[in-house]
Amino acid sequence: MRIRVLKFGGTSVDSQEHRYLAARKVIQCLEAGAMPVVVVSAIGRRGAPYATDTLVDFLQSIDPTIPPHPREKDLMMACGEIISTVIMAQTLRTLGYHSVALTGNQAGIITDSEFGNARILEINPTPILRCLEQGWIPIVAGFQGVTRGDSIFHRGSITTLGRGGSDTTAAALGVALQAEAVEIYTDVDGVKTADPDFVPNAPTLSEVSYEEVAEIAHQGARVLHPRAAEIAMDYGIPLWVKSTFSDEPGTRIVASTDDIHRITGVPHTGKLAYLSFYIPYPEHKAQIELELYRLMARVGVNLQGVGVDEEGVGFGFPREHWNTVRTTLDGLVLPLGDSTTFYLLQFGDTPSELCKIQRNMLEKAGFTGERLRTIPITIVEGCTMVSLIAQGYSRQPGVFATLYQTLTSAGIPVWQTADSELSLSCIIPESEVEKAVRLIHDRFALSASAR
Amino acid sequence: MLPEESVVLPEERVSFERERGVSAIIVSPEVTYLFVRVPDTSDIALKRQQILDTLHQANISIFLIKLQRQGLSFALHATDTERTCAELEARGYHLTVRPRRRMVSIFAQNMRELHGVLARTAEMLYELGVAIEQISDAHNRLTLLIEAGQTPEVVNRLRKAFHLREDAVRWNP
Repeated sequence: MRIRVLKFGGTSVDSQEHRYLAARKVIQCLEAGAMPVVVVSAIGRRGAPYATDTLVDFLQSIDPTIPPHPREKDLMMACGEIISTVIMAQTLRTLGYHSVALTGNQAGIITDSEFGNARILEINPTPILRCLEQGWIPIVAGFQGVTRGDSIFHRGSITTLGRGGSDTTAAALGVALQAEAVEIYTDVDGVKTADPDFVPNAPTLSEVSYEEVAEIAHQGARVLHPRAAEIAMDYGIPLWVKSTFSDEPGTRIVASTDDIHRITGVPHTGKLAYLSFYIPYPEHKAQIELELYRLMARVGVNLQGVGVDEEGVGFGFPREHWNTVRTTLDGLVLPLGDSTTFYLLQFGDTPSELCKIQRNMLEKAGFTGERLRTIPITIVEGCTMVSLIAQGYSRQPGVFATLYQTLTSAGIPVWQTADSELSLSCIIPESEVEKAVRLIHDRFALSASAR
Repeated sequence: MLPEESVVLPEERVSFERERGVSAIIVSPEVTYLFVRVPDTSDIALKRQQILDTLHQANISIFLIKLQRQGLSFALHATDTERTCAELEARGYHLTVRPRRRMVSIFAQNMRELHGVLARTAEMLYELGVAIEQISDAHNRLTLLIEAGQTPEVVNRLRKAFHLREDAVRWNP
């Protein structure tokens, strides 16, 4: 049995016209002699009536101060995909094809019980195979599964898979059904060398490796979720990224590319903030750093672009956590050295009211001079990370020098850098990101070298 | 109308998604860590560029690159140490050279979604009295630069703390 899994994202099913185009891809698959298994996301994006974010907003509008129970939130979120399966199944039915809508549960997808971010444990492919054997097209709700926990409330509870969940569903079904390919349909022609909003002529890559696409996706490009790439990579399932709206061949995700030295793309991440702490106190520096890491972990903030120097430390974090981080750190007092020295953390050049109060209290208690030390925190509130995906090149002489020179010679400040075997990243002002992506794309001649 | 349920197929179950959490520790070969200071920090971006150009022209590869208030720091292959120092000192840079370092990389598929790996690691190293000389992070790893001699103890403690089997640790000679 030749099976292909076709996954359609929210923008591929958000109008009658788009659904017909998606249906055309399903019919083409049948005409090519393969059996399609369709996975769909919820219809549209925030604001659309059945989009996941709209449903969540509706739930939270009851009382924004009281968060919904994760189990019930998952029940709500899963509705968007379920509606989408029914609409897609009916669309195919009106075109004369036998089609059946399946929830994650009905499709045999079993997860752990981490609501909101569940991990697929196993898939029983029998229900889908049964549909296929009888010539039906199964339309599976992406992004969801069901628990097999023992408690009355957890057994059979609907779970959602977290970010990129529908891609994960498609890749996982591809493995379970031993599909000949998993095709992720979206509104772009495949994996681009850069965000086409910034570089309109950014070419589509014909092939990228699983490692590269995982890195690209992690660095901000939203073409394919890395979890899906990882599943396909681990099981050797051929994976494609294609457009619902064109007949372009798309991008094939492969185990490795022939070209071991190549520069693939210039992704950029979302909104970050960056803090730099000046700690010229070697006797307590390690302890202060440790306290900062502990505090950030305690409030659930993950750090990026961490850099240590002899007189301080700096790190970036997603800007959605700005208020949490500021509330946690500004005016914080760290008593160290058996409380003989107090360190006061101060955001920015001007102390906040809280900082002033803390200082006054400590001074009144006799902590002055060397016993009360201020740690100034330099803030860069509006920044982002731009990266160069450079397989085999990232540690080659000159690549970082060229990247840095491209940015700084155009007057774009670089606040910190990070590098790995596959990528080089710079934290830059968010206002400069479009210019930065274009300049790097041009400098490394990605338009010419993509295919 | 719905598909018939009478067709009986054997139950097949496939289990696959990667485990979450820390899955491996990889230790690099010995490297040298270099801190390059410029005598005057005005126009620092240009001066860092000159350091990078010097290294590029000398065909020296560097990694774990971090911008510093007074210049630039990076790691390099131990075999490049002498040549690199000579190139940079000839141009008047002040160098702090720390040979015999290793990079310990802690891998987790979803590192950016895991809270507390850095805090837990830093805590452990602090208790051992091991200084973290540099940190680098990526979507699937956290890399720490430490003194090579302290690496076995650190790796052993990390392995236990993250409940890893012995074969989850790989030493690159």
